[in-house]
Amino acid sequence: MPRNDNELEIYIITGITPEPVQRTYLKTTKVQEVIDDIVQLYNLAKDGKYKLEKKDESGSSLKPERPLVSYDIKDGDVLVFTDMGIAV
Amino acid sequence: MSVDPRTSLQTVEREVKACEEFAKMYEWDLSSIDIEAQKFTVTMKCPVDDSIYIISIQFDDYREKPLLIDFIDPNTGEIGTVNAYPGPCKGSVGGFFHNQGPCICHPASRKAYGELGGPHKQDWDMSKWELIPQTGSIKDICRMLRAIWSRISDPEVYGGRMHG
Repeated sequence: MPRNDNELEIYIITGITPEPVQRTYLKTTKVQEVIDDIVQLYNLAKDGKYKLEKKDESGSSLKPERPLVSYDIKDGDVLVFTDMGIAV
Repeated sequence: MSVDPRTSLQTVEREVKACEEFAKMYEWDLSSIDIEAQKFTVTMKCPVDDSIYIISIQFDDYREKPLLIDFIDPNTGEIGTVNAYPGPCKGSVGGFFHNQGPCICHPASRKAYGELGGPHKQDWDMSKWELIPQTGSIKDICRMLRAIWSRISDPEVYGGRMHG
């Protein structure tokens, strides 16, 4: 079934599974919502510290409040999800 | 408690292999494993200020005990000195690199426990490290290395080198 033009199919490397996980989001989905989705998908700690980056731009965290479309993220793009560790 | 060194080695070899793609992506340099000493190192170059961080990972009794993680001063070769460590992170992501020890202040880091001079004396039980809530998903070598990298590769988080 063809996808809606307002949707993005992206791949997220988490390290939790050997292969990236494929997810579909609205283009307007906020980065934080993507993070929350992965946290829920893998039952991670809700009070953890997580970040999302473009695969080829290590060190540049996507800002949680911005929508995916604002980063020019396209179908097939690969993001990297990292658990930064809870600082104690 | 004591884990057969061969068991620890097999676990470490498997976890290190799982890290290869990230090591390539982030240009980490993983040393060969010193089987007798049960340790290896990972060298990372911080893209923010080009600082070199050398992580020492000792895996005796792993996974019954968490890894003994430390940093090696790239200039002197001394292990566990303040200058070897990244400093506390900026912003809301908080500590992680703690100057008491110094250590990585996380349940997956053996040096964080009181038994080894770390800040957590009674609130964390090393024998149950994987079950401590603050462990989160950081339960293997790759995720620990990625957590370290996430804190030294991001200019909005990286706090420079630790100072005494």
